[in-house]
Amino acid sequence: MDRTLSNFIRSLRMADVRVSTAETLDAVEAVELVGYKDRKFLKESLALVLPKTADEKEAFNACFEDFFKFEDVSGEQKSGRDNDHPDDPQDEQTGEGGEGGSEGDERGGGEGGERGERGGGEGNERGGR
Amino acid sequence: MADIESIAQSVDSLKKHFESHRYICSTQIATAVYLAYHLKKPILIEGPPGVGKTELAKTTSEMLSLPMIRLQCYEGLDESKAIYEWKYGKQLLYTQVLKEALDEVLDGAKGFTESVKRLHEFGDIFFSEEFLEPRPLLKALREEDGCVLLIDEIDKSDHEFESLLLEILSDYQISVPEIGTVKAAKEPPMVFLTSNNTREISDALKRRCLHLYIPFPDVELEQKIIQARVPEVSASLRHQLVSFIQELRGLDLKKVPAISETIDWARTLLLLHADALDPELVRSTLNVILKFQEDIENVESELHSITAKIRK
Repeated sequence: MDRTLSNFIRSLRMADVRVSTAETLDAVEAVELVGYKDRKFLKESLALVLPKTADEKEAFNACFEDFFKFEDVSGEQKSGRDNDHPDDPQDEQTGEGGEGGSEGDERGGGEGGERGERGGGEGNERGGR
Repeated sequence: MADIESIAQSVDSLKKHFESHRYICSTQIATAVYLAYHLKKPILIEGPPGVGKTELAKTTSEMLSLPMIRLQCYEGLDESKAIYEWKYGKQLLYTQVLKEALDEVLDGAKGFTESVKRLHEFGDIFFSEEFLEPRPLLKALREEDGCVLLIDEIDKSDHEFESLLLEILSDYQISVPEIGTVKAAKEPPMVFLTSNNTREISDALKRRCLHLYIPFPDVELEQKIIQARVPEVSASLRHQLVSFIQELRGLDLKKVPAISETIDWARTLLLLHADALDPELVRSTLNVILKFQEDIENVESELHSITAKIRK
């Protein structure tokens, strides 16, 4: 299993999402199928496999946004699809986002603003592939 | 026969095919079906009533041209109604008919032990395939080319029943003591479970499924759904009625209207030849979308402000 995923699952467990070994295996299969290229696709897929209650889904969203900060996690060329989708639920981070910049540019700033702002978070492991 | 492989090749393709079957879905829903198909996992669908949980299973079976087998759950549902049953009547009838034959078999047998021994030679014919009545779960496993198995409203069944499902959900097989383990045909069924959240589903069951939560749709999606389901409604009316419903969902009601109610309402307004919402029209049709007198009264008192708001 690749390290990115095992690290991500560890961070989920720390956020009180109960992930069993069987579910970890499901996540591995899902990632094999979906890949790391399309961030939104990856998020929606893992959201079906790992969190199983409303609370867990919320924690998952926060964790995912935090963990996979960069769109192209694999380090390969960005895929053709538009990943910077406006309806990405990101409300969970507004709390942490406050320290980065003014709240106004949280959304409007789009990709650039988002990155700059989140860069202030704890140094997360990313893309070990 | 639909080409399942090509329909399920990507999330976009699934979404398109759902749309052509008039089921407008979010990417999340299409992704769930995509994963369910490729990972061969059941989907547990939760969400408020009337958002299209059951419809998703139905449309999938239609879209993939697979037969649909449905198991409606209720309190007291047990093995004999869900998995299999022995045809007791037939067993009884056969023993009656075979009575005479039995005399022949036992003819000349000396003593009890020998009679029993001769009977044993006939084995367990009364507990064989011939006398087995397969119920939905067993039937689904035996479908040669796969099928869609819908286990509807699992939260209505007893807690114990969930445990019965574990074997079929994780291994696509069922153990029947008298005839052994029945494994799925080469193509396992696509399993959809729905729940209205009236009680918590056990962890063991959740662990074996993909978990999909279908919320109420946003304005945009709901408009698309109305457009697909009731295309005769004009764009402006569609916009108004969807906004009205969305406003209602924000109120504190006993039961907020779901998509099925929006569709019913659109059809009602169509019948009345309405082309715009006005307070009088809404008041007279409110019973289509609200199912509690209390709710109706609450909304009536705020009718003017809501209609004014959505007509802006």
